[in-house]
Amino acid sequence: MAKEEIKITEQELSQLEKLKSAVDKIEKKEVKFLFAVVNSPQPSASVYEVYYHANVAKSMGYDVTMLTDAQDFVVPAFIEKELTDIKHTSMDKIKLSVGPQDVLVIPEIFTNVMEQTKNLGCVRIGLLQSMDYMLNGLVLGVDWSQFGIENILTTSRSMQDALGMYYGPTKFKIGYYDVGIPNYFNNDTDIPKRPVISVIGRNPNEIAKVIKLFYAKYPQFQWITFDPMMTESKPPSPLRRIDFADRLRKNFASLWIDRISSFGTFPLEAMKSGSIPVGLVPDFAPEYLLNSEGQIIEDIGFWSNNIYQLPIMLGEALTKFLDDTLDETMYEKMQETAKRYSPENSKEQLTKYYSGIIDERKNLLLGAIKNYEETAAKEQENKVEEVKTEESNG
Amino acid sequence: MDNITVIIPVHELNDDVRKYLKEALESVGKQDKIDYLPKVIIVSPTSLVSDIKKEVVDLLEVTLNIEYLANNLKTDFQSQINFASEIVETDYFTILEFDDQLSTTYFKLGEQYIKAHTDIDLFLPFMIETTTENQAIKITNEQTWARNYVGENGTLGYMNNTVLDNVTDFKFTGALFKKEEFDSYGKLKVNIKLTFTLEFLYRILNNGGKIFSIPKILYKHTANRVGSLFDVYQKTMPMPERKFWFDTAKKESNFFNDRVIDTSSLTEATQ
Repeated sequence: MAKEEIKITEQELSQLEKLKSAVDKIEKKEVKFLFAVVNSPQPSASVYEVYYHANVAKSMGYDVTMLTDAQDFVVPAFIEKELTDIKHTSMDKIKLSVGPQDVLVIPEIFTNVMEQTKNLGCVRIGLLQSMDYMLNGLVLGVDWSQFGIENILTTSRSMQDALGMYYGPTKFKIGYYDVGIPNYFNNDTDIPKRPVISVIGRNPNEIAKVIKLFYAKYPQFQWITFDPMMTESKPPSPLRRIDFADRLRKNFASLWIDRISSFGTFPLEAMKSGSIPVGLVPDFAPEYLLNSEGQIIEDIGFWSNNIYQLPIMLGEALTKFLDDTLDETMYEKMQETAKRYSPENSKEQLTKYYSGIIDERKNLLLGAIKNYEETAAKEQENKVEEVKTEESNG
Repeated sequence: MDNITVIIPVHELNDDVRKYLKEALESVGKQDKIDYLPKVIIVSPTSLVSDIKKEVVDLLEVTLNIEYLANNLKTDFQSQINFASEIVETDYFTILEFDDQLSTTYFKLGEQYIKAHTDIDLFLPFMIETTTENQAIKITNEQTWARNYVGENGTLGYMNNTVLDNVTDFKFTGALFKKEEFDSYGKLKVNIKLTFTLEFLYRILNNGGKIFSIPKILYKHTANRVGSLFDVYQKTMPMPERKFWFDTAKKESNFFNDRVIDTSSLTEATQ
């Protein structure tokens, strides 16, 4: 009997070809990076961050697209043009065409996108920046694993730890990186600070309460100007982030009231600008505020867990500013803290993270190819054995 | 940078003046982070010079670079300052009243602001006003930092007419005068009583000059000391005359020269 030629099936062959093509594309850097981004005309640190990621991927040589959530999406004006110079495509318009080598990054707000893309073969990463927003997107009893998400990227080690604590250490591969504060926030000017207090907060009523109590306690400081950089209910004129930095740098202190922030971009921007943060510690304290024992670090501004302490701390900060008795070590510690969150460091960490994701995917694909080939070889051996057995029996 | 001279006008010498003047001079000598001896001009009637030296300066615990200027002419406040300013060799000078004090950061911060704002003709630092018992009363010169005073179109920190029209109690003792501009604007006017400060500030603004308020407390002013110039005005000057001088200040600020003021309307009013 003639020796029977063993073939893998057409379906298997097609699959194998796809895998090999995917590996080939990875090696040629023909990988698509897609970033889902929310329409946000008002300044938003989390949206800025998504663009920052996209630019890191771009600088790594990948083909980057922003997937927008609205057909009338407006490219955010508060982000510098160099960072938004990327292809934008509405998610509604296109049917996603991705291969196993491609990467889709989905911010926490888009749980619907996570759900809708769960059958895609690409790498999908959930980008989680805020404890509150990430949970807002989930219905009770559901987490991202139900959407097939395995990779989660967070913006701080404390978020990574918290996710590990609640969801367990094995359910997700949880990565983190340090957010980078752009260098245009640097305090590189000889112009002395103004006796003006920048204000950022989520709840205008709380901000008004603190300011009114400050004026009540310190009538001699009635002349002080509070500079509202942003509130959610009363949007300011949209400042580009670079202009925001210019304004922040001028003011000697910055009031921050944001109970639900998980990272605290604004206080870091203030520290880098040399503007002293006076803030309410959020429910989820930013990691840079805590020492290894979980206590608030001293000398990087004025911080309290009690909102009613803020007017007093503002008075203390202002008195010291006017008397020129603010401790130099406070400014030094603020700079030291901000230094860890440099854009260079952030870029390096993100590059490493995304390279790791791509390498992992490549290894997975190579493993699958090997698996196919070994299975095919084994099947061939088995067939040969069968033929031999038939011949000896015949 | 050794760019500031302190002018201290003294018109009399008694126990109180000796005590205050000693404290004033020591405040000049106790400065943070400077590596030179501050320059001081003590301007006084000729008859007081040797006593000031012997009874005050020689007893100081600090070392200063002091020049004594004997003034045989008018010894009112404005004349003393104008006279002393003529021998100032630094780019800036300040006025220290003998019963006031500079902060220990005066020179350090003054120089910092001079360097950062080279286009400013007159810096008005914040001052703390105290009673003679050293109790704080108020901060002064701060209103240029209030948005409601500078107006939406004004720049915080910079004096403008809107501020001056609403706030009249700015004080320029402790201020940093750019010597060249002080001369070019025509110095202080002797013929104006009560409101010579206001008149000078308006005059600078009317001529395109820039006045900036340093948001640091660099000067301690003893308010309403018995016998001080403004104490005398407060006790002796009737309201119509005060109003007259406020009106006059604004009018006269349009002129560089120290014109003779027609006070006949005041005389008529009191008759």
